Amino acid sequence: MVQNPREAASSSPIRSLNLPALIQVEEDAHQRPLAISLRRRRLGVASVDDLWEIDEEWWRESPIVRRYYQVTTEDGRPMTIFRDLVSGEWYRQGG
Amino acid sequence: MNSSYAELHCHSNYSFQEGASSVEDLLFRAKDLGYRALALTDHDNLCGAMHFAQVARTLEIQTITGAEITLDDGSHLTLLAETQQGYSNLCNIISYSYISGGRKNPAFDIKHLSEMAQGLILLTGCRQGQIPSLVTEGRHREAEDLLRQYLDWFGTANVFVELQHNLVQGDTPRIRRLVDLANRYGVSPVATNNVHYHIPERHRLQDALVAISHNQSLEETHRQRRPNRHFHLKSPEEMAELFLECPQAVKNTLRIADRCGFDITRDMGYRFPDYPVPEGFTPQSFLEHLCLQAAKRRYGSITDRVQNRLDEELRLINRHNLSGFFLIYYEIIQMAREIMIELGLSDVEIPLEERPPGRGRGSSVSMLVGYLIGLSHIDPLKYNLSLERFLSDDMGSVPDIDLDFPRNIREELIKRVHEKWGWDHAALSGMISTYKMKGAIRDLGKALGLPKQDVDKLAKRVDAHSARELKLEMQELPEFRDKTDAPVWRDLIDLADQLDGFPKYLAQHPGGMIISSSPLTDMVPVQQSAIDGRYICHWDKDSIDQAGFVKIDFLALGALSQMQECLQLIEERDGHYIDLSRIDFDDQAVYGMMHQADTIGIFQVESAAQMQTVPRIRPINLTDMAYEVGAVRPGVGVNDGVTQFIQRRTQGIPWDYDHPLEQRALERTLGIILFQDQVNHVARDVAGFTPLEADQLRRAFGRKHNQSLIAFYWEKFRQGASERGVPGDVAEKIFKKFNGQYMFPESHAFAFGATAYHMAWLKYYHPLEFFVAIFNQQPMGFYNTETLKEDAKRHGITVINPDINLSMEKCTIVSGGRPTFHPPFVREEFERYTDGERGEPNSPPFVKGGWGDFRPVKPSPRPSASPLPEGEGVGGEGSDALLLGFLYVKGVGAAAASSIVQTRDSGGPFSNLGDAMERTGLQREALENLVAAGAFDSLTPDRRNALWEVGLRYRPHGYQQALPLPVEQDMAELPKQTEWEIMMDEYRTMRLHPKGHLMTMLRPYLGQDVLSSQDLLGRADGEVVTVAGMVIRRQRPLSKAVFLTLEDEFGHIPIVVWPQAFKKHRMDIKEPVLIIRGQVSRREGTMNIIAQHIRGTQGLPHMPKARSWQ
Repeated sequence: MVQNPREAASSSPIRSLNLPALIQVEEDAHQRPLAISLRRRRLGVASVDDLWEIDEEWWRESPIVRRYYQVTTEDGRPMTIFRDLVSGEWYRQGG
Repeated sequence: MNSSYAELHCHSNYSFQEGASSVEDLLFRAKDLGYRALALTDHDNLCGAMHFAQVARTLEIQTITGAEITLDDGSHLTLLAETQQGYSNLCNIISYSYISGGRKNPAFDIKHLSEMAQGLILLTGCRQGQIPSLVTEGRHREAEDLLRQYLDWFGTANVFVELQHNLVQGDTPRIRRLVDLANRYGVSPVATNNVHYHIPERHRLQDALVAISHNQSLEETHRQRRPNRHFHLKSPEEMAELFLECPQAVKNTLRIADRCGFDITRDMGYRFPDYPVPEGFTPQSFLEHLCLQAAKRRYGSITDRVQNRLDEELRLINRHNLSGFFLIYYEIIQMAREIMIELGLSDVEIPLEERPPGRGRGSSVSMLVGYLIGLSHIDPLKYNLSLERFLSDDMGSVPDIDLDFPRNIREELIKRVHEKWGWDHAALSGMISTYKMKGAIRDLGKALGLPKQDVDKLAKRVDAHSARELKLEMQELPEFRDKTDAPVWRDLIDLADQLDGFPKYLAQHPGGMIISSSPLTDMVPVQQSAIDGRYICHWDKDSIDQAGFVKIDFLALGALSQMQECLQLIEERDGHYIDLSRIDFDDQAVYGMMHQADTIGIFQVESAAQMQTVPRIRPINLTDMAYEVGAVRPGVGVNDGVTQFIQRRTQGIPWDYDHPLEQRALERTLGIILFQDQVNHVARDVAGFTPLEADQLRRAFGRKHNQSLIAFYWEKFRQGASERGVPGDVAEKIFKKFNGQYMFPESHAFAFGATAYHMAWLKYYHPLEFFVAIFNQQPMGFYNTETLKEDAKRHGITVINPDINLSMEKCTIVSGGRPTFHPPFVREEFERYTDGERGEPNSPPFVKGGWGDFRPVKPSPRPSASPLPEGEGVGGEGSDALLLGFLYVKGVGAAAASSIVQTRDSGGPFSNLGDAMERTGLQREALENLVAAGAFDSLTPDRRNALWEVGLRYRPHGYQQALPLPVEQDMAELPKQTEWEIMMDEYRTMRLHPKGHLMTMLRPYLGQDVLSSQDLLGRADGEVVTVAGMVIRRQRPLSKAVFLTLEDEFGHIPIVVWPQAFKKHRMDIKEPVLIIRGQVSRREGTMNIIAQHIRGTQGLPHMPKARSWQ
C-alpha cells in the first residue's frame, strides 16, 4: 500500500493560465486594429475573421467590457486580441 | 420618411422575461431613429400586437405583425404577416403551438408549416434558428435541404435568409456562410437585429430578466444571458456599418416592409357572430318576437309606451346590425337559467325575467330589450332611464354589456360556453399580469444575488404599489436607508424602476369571453388557461375592444352570490321569493339607513370612503346611487373631484365650466368628471378628437411609462382646442383633469348603484338572512367576520358558536333556538329537549353554555310589499339567530364538515364527546379546534376538560379506533378557562368571538381617558382625544394619507394619519390593536380622528386580520 505522504501534491501555488497579455495595437479611426506589436515585431492585420463584444459582471465593482477581434496576421497566424473598453488598452487573449 | 432600414425582428416586454422594453419605448425610439416601419415579433404570442399597432398608428409608424415561433425541436423561426390570410395563419400556428406543446412549452410541428404558409414571409431565424445553427455546425447539406423545403412551402419570394450581427462571437463567419447559402439558391438575405430592448443601457434589465426566467442569479446564468449590449434598436447607419459586406440585406428590410401591408388595426375582417334563428325568422324579427312575448308577461299587455320604446330600440339595433349580438346574450342567459334550474335555484315554470340568473351592467340597464331578454334587472320605463347615452344613432362602438353572475353559476357557464361553441370559437379574454413593487423586489433581488432575508424583509416592509417608488420607500425604512447608494442595492432600485408595470405572464381575465361565428383562431391566438378545460385568447380587454370584437363579460360577483343566498333564505323562511326588480326604488327608509353610514356588507357602499360620502351625497334615488358609487373612485378623487362634487351638489357652491365646450359632457355631474366616458366626451367636444382618438387618449393615461405618449396627446389636444378657440392655459387646465386612475363608466355606475340599493333593501328588511348570506359567502367585501358580527349585533342579530348537534356545514338560521330547515332527526331530537312549539331550550346537555343569555332579537322591520306569513313552523321572531357552520372552524374542511353532518343524519345526534370522536373519526386538530370554538359546549361545558378528554381518547389514523371506554378516572382537575382565554381561542379557531368584543375585555386596562366610539359622539370638532380599538382596515390611497378604521365594542372610529405622523409611526400602525391620540375633525355629518400619536398593545396573537388596501 502506498502511504499517504500527508503533503500537498505540489508545492507550487495555484497559477492562472491563459492570462491576457497587454499588447500594443495600431488602430484606425474606428478603433479597429491595423497592426499588432508583438515581441518588438510589427504584425499587420491581414483579415478580421470575427469580432465580438462582451459586457459582463456589470453588477460588480469592476465590470468587464471588451471588444474582441479574431484576426489573421500578415504572416498567416490566427490571433485573438481584445480592446478593454473601460481602460482602452489592448490585450492578446491566451496562448 | 426617408429611412434606409426597418427592424423586422423585435421583441417587446410581451416576450415575457425576455424583452426589456415596452412597446411605447420601442416605438418612440424608432421614431427618434427615423424608422418608418417596425415589426413586433414576440416569442410565440401576439399579446402585444394590437397595443403596439395602436400606439404606432398614433406615431405614424408602419407596423408589421409577426412572431418568433418555437418549433418542436426548440429552434426559432421568424414569421411576418404580409396579408390578412398570413395573419390568420400566424394566429393558427401560434394556437396550435400551445395546443400541441402545452401551455408552458409552445412548440410547432414543422411539418404542418406547409399548410399555413400562405400570406406569410419567413425569415430563417436567429442564432437558434435551424438553418443558422446547421450552418454554424458546418452541416451545410442539411441546411440546404431545409432551405429547399422552406422554398417549396413558401415560394422563393417569401423566404429570406436572416442575418444577425449583434457582435457575438461567431456572427461574422456565420453571416458569411449564410450569404453564400442564400446566393447559391437565389434567396434574398435580410438583416435584422434581434432587438430585445430599445436602448443599449437596458441590457442590464434584459440580463436580469433572463436570470429571473431561469430562477437563478446573474452569476449563475452566464451561459443563458446574452453576452453584450448590442440587442437594441440600432440606427440605420449602424446597421449599414455592420452589414458592409452585404448591403443588400439592409435594403431588403424595406422591401419586406413595403410588402407587409396588413394592418391589424384595420384589416382584421372580424364579423359579428351570426345567430341561427328558427325557420321563418330573421335575427331581427326573432329578437322582436322574444321581446314582445316577454313584454306581455311582464306588463300584461303592450301599452303604447312599451311599444314606442321597443320600436325605437329595435330600430337602433337594426341600424347598427346588433340583433345577432343581443341574441347571443339571450342564448347565454338561457344557458345560465338552465344551470339555475339544475342547481335547484329556479324552476322551468318560472319565467326568465322573474328570476334572472345574472344581471347586466352597462348599456343593457337602460334598454327595455335588455330587461325583456333577461340581461337586466331594472325596468327602464319605470325608472325613466334614457336610452340615448347608451344606444344612439351615432354610436361609435358596440354597446358595452357585462353580465354579473353568482360565483357557482359563472363557473358552470364558462364550461358550457366552451362546450357549445368549441375552444376555437369561444375563448376567455386574456389578462396581462404585471410587475409591481413586491414582485419586482423579490425577483430582481434574487437575480442580483442579494441576501434572501434582506430581500424578504424589504418586500414585506414596503407599502407603495409602484416599484418606481422603491428608493423613496427605502429611505423611509431605517434598516434600508443607508443601502440606497450601496453597490447592487443601487442596481435593484434602478432595475425595479424600469421593471415596474412590465407584463409578467398571460393570465385569465376574471370573466370576459369572446365568441365568434368564424374561427377565433383566425383572428387571435388561443391557448389553454391554467384551469383545465378553459381557453384564453392572447389579448387583454383593451386589445379586444380595439379589435371591435364582441366581448361578453361573465363576472363572478360575490355580492350576487350573497344576494342569491339571501333571497333563498328568505324564501325558505317566509315561503315566498322576492322579485327584486319589483321592489320600490324610492323607499326612503332604505336610503335613510344609508345616510346613517349603516352600509357594512352592502355592495359598493361599504368601504370607509363610501361611509364618509354617503351621508354627504345623501342619495335618494337610483340616479343618485349611480353618482354615489361612481364618485368614490381613485380617478375622481385624484383631482379632489369628490369633494367638489359634494360641495356643488349639497352646499350649492357656485361653479362654472372651465370652458363652455365642456357643458355637454359635464352638465349633469356639475362640471366634474365622474365617469370615464366623460373623458372621451370632453376630448371630443373641447379638442375635436374623433371617438377613436378620444378612446386612445383615455387609455394612454392608464398605461405605464407613458410620459412620451401623454406629451404627444397633450400637443394634439392643445392644437385641437386652440382651433376651437380655447386658450392654451384653459386647455391645459382641462387636460389636467384627465388621469390614468380608475373610474367607472357611467352605465356600470348605474347598474352597480341598483345592485347596491338591492343589497341595502335586503339589509334593511331582512337583516338576518342578509348576514347569514354574507357569512357564508366569505371571503368577500371589505370586512372580516368579526366586524360583520359586530354589525349584525347592532342589527339585533345574535351570532351563535357552532354546535356539534345543530350546526350544518354553512351558517344557518336558528329560529327559536332551532334550525329552520334541518333534517327531521334534529327536529325530533330537539323536541325532546324543548318545551314544545315555542322551542325554548330548557335543559342541558343540549344547550349548556349556549345562547340563553343572549339579547333578544329586535323584530326586523318588514316591507309592506311582502307581508310575511305567520307561524308555519317558523319560530318566535324574538329568538332568531345566526348559527355558525362547521366550515367556520379552522382545520375543519369541507369533507370533515359534511362527514359530521352525514354521521349525525344517519345515526342521530352525538351523545357525548367520545361518541362524536368514535363516529366521525375526525382528526385531532379539527376536534381540538371544534372544542375551542365551542362546538361541544352543549355536551361538555368546560372546554379545557373537553380538550383533555380529546387528548385521552384520540388515536391517530391507522391506530385502533377510539373506543368509548370510560376516561373519568384519567380526568384531571384543571383551572377553568378565563373569558380572555376563551376569546383568544375563538379568534384562533374562527377569527371571531361571537359573544363579545375584544375591547370590552381590554377596556378595564385602558386609562380613564381612553374614549369609546360612543363617547366620541359628544366630542366637539378640534378636541384632542385618545381612542383605542382593533384595526379593521388600513388603506393608503394615492393621496398619501393613511386611513385606518378602529373597531371597538360600540362601533367604528375612522382615523386619518397624515404623512408626518405616518413617518413617525409607520411600524406601530401594523399592530392589531392601537391606542391613538388625535384631534376630532367633523364636517358635514362625518367625523374623523386626525392621529397625532399612535401606539400598539403588545402580545396579542391570532387577532382577526384587518383588510389592507393600497
